[in-house]
Amino acid sequence: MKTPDDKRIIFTYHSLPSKNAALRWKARLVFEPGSTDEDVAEMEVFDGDGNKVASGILEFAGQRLKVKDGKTSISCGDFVKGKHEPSIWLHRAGHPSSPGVVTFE
Amino acid sequence: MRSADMMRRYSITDGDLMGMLYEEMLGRGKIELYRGDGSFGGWLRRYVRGFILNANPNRHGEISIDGFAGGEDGEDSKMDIPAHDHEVIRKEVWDMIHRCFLDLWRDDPERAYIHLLKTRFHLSSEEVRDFLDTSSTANVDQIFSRSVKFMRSAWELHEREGF
Repeated sequence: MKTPDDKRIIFTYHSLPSKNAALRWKARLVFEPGSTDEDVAEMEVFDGDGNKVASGILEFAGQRLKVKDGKTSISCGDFVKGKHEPSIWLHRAGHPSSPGVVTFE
Repeated sequence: MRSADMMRRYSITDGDLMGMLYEEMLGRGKIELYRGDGSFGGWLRRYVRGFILNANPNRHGEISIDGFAGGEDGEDSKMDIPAHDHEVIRKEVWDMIHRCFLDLWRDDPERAYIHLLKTRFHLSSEEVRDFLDTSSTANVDQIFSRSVKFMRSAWELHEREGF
């Protein structure tokens, strides 16, 4: 895989709509220009109040990514390998696990 | 030819242009502007000409044929474009789009990514192919067209369900 040399691509993921604030979260996945399989895409994860998620596990693209201080990452190659995987879950201690989806933002 | 100039200027392919037109007609529902006055072929010809004259892939999503005079096709020159076409997107519409997009994601996330990369980030089919390791640009175009069709069907389904 290779991302465009002149564009930074940022995907935003949201928890599915819920009235329960404890279930809400948001994540941003950033691909720097010219990234290839071996490069790493950084990810930021926030709770429903916009605060960084202190710790948790993000199930994403078929990987279980450890979230610490609001940050995690995935190799660009693994992202592409998991491009058909619809399951996204954020697991946090003290919170119910919560599914998510990519959005237009 | 203007379309060839535009394609060179923005480095887009025939497939990109077809995808943009496909999205315009089905994704944005412009095909419904045809009211049955005159031949459909003539109306489509005028529309495509206006679309190409006004198309800018960097502004895709805001393409308009308002102000396009048309003219040589005679029978279709009376076509009326409703003014409400540019009305502000309401919250229900935004919610509906997300609901349809969730359906698309559940059907195949790759389709959702291709839809986003083409419409939100304005990547060419070559750039999308390289990004997602899709087999060919033709495959990207085909998946994109299917995603637009899927979104449109999902919209109609949710509308019938009384979203």
